[in-house]
Amino acid sequence: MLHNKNEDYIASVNNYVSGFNDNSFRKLAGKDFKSWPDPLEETWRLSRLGTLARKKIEPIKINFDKSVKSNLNTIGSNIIKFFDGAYREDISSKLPIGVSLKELNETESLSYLSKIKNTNLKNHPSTNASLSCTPSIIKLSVDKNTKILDLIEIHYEGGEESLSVHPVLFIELNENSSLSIIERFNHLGSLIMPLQLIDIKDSASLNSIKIFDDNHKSYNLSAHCVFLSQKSVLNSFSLVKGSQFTRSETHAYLNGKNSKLNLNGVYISGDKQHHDLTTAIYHNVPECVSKQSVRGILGGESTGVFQGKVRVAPNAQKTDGQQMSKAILISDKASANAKPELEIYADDVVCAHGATVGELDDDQLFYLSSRGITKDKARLMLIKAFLKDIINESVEEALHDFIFKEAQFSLSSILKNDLVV
Amino acid sequence: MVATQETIDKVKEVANTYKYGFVTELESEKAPLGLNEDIVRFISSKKNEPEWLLEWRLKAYRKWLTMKEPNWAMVNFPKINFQDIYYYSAPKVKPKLNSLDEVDPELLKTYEKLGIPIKEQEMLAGVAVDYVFDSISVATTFRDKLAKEGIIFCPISEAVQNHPDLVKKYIGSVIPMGDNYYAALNSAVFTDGSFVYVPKGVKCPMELSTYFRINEQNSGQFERTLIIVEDNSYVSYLEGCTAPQRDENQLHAAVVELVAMNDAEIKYSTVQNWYPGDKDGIGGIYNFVTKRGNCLGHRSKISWTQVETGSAITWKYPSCILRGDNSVGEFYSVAVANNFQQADTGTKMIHIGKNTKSTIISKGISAGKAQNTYRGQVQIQKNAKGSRNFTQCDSLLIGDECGAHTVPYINQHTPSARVEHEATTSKISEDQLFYCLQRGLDTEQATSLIVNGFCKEVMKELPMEFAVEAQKLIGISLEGSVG
Amino acid sequence: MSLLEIKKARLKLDNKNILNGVSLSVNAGEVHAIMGPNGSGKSTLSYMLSGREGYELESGEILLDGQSLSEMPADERARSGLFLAFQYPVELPGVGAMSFLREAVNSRRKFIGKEEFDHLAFVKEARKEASKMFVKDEMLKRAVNVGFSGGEKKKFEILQMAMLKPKVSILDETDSGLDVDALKIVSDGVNAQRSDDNAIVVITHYQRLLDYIVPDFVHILSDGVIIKSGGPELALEVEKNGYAGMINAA
Repeated sequence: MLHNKNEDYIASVNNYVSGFNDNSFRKLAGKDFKSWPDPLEETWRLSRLGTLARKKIEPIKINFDKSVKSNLNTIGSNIIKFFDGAYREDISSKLPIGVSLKELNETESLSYLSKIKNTNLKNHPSTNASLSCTPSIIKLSVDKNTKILDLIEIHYEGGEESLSVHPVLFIELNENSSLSIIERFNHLGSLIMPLQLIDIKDSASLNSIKIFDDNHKSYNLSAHCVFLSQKSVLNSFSLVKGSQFTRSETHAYLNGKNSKLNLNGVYISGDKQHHDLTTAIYHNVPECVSKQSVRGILGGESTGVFQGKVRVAPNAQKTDGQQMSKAILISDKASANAKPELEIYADDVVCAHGATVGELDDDQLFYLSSRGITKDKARLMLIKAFLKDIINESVEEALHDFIFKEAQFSLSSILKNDLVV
Repeated sequence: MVATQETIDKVKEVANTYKYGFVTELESEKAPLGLNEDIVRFISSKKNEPEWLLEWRLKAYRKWLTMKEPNWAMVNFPKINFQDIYYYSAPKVKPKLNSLDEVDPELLKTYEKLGIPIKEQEMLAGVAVDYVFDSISVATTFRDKLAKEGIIFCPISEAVQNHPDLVKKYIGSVIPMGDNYYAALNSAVFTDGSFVYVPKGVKCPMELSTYFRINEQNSGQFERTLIIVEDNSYVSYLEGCTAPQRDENQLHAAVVELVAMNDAEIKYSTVQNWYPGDKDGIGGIYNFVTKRGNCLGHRSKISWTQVETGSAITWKYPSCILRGDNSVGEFYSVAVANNFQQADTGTKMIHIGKNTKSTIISKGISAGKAQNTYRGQVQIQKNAKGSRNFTQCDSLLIGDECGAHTVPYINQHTPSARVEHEATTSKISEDQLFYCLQRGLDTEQATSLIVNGFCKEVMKELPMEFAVEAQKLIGISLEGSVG
Repeated sequence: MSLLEIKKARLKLDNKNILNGVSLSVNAGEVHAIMGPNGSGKSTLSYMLSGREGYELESGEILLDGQSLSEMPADERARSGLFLAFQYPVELPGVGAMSFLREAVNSRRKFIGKEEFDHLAFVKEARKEASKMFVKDEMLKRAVNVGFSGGEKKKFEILQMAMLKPKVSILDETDSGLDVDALKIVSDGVNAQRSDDNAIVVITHYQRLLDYIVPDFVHILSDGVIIKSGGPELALEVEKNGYAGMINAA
């Protein structure tokens, strides 16, 4: 008998929410989860979910008594742990004064749903599936006028074969506060669907680092929705190296004057991995700045995708929007796709994007060779420099080494397999 | 697909019946309104076409029926009623004239109004002009000179009669009949267009040029152009369009196919100035064109240069398939959109052969309430080792009610190739404007000067006489947009 | 009769008083220097005279050769014979220097009823003037001010002045960014154009330029008014004692 490829997971999500009230946020979200994105849909053309749709997966059932084994070392002492997509207070540490963590109640969850539904992430599969199946929406918030100096680490672990996990977060920085977080995704499971709403109020600032390092058989479909108010700042850096298929999609709405966004990322891909960084930046008000820099290193038979859209609304004069993507192919069978898109409706703006795909710079290689360095060594040096460059530019100094090590680990594994061409 | 005897007989029968039934229409040289298989047969029979071409048209028509209009471009317009269009009309001038003196003086007057002095061009510029008035070519000149070199330059309807093997071999070879909605429509109903064949080792001694005009009310225009350049040969082809004002939207869905063999080069330049609609966005031409060149031979080169100032809606992506090793594709474009114009234009560079190179320079200018989109794809396939692409897309905004958009697609599948894309968006700065004003230029002069400066990299690719005309056009198109 | 007459000019920018009643009369054949410290309103004065948008007079009057400029847009002022040599000449990418010059010169010639230059005549004229300014042909082939050095930009400004033959030229900080050699060439270019039919207003912070372009009159501008006028010796006084003493005394 033919296996009905598409409806398995969809049906199991719908089955999951069937017991809930019709007006509950879960049921409302589940109602919109009708199918996986069509491969003909413009934003999914380069990252098709056909193979995922054919897999038999269902949402994980949370067991808070399950004993938890962590594979992650910690950097500092402020750790928040998610396991199987659920927040685990029992293994998380205490948080600094001024930072609070709580579960949203039904009313608050409904309002969370309506906020996301007003954005262009409204039909993202993770939005609908995760709001249907999440154990609960967890809100991390920083009080007004509070600057948190300690790094907060969030670990996402757990997951199992043929099951999906749904960590859903609401990060709120109140007026004039600041926070630095590092999030690490380290699941075993088949399908990881994190959803985040990040609300940065006036004059607040968030430094955010994400490391995607889930099991190499898994799918990670992440969706992040960011609101920036007046004079707020978000510095975001993503390192994508795990999963069979990772797509991290970020939509940032610059809604307050003089807000500032740095949205950088690196993907390191080998084997048959598929890594996709998709961003959409909406300049809705005048005088905001957005900078994006994305780099990719592709080995094996991997595929990299960068899709970035900068939209400048009619009145958003004096916008400064810059976007740069660079990818290096180090194997014959790897490929890279880029779609840096500008959509501009205001005239007094400075917007530019650039994209390059190719191999290492011949002149640089020659320069190194002329100094007696072997070809392989020279290539390695340049690839490392390519990585180091963006890491140093994107994350705070104290974390340079940590992030670089994380990157290098994946780098050496893909370089081992690839005779560098 | 081979037609059975039965089909052939039936078609003949139908064609004959309709010939007969259309007596009055024949006098007005116009097919009845709308589109069906009989109309396709009517067009084919009017052109006295061989069976294979009729079959080809019918196949395209049937394909078209199964297709949907593309919706990915950033353009908005009311749905076109394809049954409300005349698919065939010819001017009341006897075709196949021996000289221009035999052309309808009314027609000559219209050209004069448009500033196209035929005789002067003939003599001074040394340009052989193949005039297309609505759908039928009415005058072709300089044939003798070209014939001496073995170059064929004639209406495609004539090529079908005189060089059927060439047409049969290459028509639809670059743009398959079912390539896209409008190309399928064109394949079914194209009426005329140009045919150029340059034999081996010949550099075409003059620029070949065609002026297109839409005149008849409600007559869709479906030109089909086919240019084949053999080994070691060269041709430069100019295409210019102007259209008179009118209120009803008109559809223009042309297809242009280019084929370049080993070491051959084709330079194809367009100045497109169809009626853009009035200041309130009423009327104007829908320009939905499919243009593609096949760099089939090694070291071949195809270069597209376009200046797009007209049309209410432009949907056009002149592309290159770089199949031969070391072949070169170029795309130079200026697109001006003012008032309510919408332009979605760009190119595709498909790198298949080794060491292929492509360059894309696109300059978009938006003014008034217009929307201007660059959409382009650069694809480097697995075997295209050592290939290079460079893309530069700049947008200039004049006023705060217009939009400028850039949508590049980069697909790279081989490490030894390199793709570079750069894009910027800017406006005419107040400082630049004031500097020019202080030197005594008025606002319009200053704008035109700055805009033409912005476009210079593209304009210099145009043949001289075209460049001057194009420069003026850009100025005229932007009149009233500043100050 | 005076070629340029400024009468009690007052001007506000962003609600701040910048010019507070400047009066000045410049006769044909004269060179005037306007000196003043930073923020005294010197550049505002040049924009106001040349008719830059946003620099409209609040009250007062300006006359060019007896004709009121107040209602006249910038391009018409230029065609009428008012020239501004910019402190920071603007780059016009893609706009060829030669075609730009020709457009400007012919606009002025047409306006004053002279025959426009045809292409050849113009190129000849431009080359002649350019060689006087040591401007290389190659520079005229480039886009206006794009990739020009500081010195080249200023030379090109004075070349335009020579070609446009204005009645009144305003030189705004023309010495800024020039080394001694370039300063000499630029000044010689300006001096060569001094005649009984035109007038020049030099706006400068430093006295240095006035060693090369020797003025007939010097005015000190401070807080939007001329606080002192005199001969060339006034400039030397500034050089020696600075602006402070003078401003305090006023």
